[in-house]
Amino acid sequence: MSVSTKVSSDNRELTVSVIGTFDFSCVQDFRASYSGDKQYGKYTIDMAKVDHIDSSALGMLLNMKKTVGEGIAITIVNCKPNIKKIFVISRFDKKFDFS
Amino acid sequence: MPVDSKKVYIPLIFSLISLVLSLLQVSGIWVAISILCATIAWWIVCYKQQNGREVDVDNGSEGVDMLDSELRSFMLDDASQREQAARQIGSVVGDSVEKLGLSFSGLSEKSTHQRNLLINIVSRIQGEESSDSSSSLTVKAFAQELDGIIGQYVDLLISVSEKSIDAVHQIGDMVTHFDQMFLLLGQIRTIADQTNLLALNAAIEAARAGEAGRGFAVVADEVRTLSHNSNQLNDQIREKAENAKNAIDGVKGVVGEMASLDMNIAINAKGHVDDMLKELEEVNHFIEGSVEQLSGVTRDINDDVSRAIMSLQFGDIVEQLTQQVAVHSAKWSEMVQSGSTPSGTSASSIEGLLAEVRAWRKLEQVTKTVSQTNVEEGDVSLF
Repeated sequence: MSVSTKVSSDNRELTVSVIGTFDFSCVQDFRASYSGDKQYGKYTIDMAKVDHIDSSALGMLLNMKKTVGEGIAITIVNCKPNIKKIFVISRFDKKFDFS
Repeated sequence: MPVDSKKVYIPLIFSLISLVLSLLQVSGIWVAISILCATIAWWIVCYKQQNGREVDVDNGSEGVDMLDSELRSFMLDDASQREQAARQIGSVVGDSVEKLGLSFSGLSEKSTHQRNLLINIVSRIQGEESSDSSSSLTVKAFAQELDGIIGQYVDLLISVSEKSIDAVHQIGDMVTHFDQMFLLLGQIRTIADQTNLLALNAAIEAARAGEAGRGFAVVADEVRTLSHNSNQLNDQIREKAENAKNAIDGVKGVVGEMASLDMNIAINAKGHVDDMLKELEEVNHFIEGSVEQLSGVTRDINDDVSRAIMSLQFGDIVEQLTQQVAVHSAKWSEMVQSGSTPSGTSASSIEGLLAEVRAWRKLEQVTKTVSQTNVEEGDVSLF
């Protein structure tokens, strides 16, 4: 399982952690991670264990944003430098929160 | 004896004139003339010491005449040498000053030209202005265009990925629907099987009824056939649906490939362009600084040259001074010469010369004040 989820103790925040390569192979699992019946107030993508991403990851993130709604904040955390660079060049820093 | 006392006075008068002159005058030419006067006085004193007794013994005008003429020839010689030297100094200084002035003007002109050339080069590199701005492509503009193209490419890539993933999601939904359809097909098969069983039971019951159940047996047989057909149809539908599902899986794979493009090429290209733009910016910054410095240096050079050209006015002053020396020397020669035709005694001839010198001095006093003011003004601007 390369995608795992964790709900915060107050049941308001969902953290999705991806492991290894964040690419097309994750598409089902990643979609399943956030498209349950429950809506959360805040979503966090933990990229700490991601070594490589391709454009499908960007597509997945954009689809996630579309699904959860523009008003809900999605924060991408713990990016490795090479992955952060991809996000910056793709101008994702204007669409998502980075910390 | 009155002759002796008169002779003693001559050097004294000369010495006095020299002293007064040297006290009064500041300028070099007057000092020179003063020294000359002192020298003349000295000669006279020396002559008197050496030949005085002889003259006294001879008590005649012949000795004095000889002294007078010798003295005059010395003075003439000296005056002409001085005049020549003065004119030489004047011409040498004048020539050199003129050449220096030309050199300095050339230097200033060339440094300005150099600066303009460099500024042209720089503006050409920076693309600030060029003769045909629409057709020329500067490095900076090119890099910016490239940056824009890469940005568009990245945007396109992301847009394709986003839509592809969206399509994949919808395909996923479709597959889910297919799976539900298979479930329903399974349920249909169960119903058909149950129908088949029911028909079998009906056939058995019809056989038990004997002749009366014969018609019913036919119906039961038909129902069995229908359930068989239903199962066959079910299998066909399942097969077709299975094919559709496989095709959809294929589509999913293709769309997935479309979505999964390696970002590294775009990222590297973008990184290179960014680096290039940054470096260009730095180079431009450096060039601007250098041009500013260059302008400053050129300004300094021009200032220095202006100062140097201003200082070259000393040539005029030196020329004036040497002219004065020459004129004075010429005047001296003239005065000394004019008195040399002995119309009376040597003593009276010397007295005549002295009177002439005095008159000339007085006249000179007026013109000197003017020329000296000029020199002093020159002094201020020079040093």
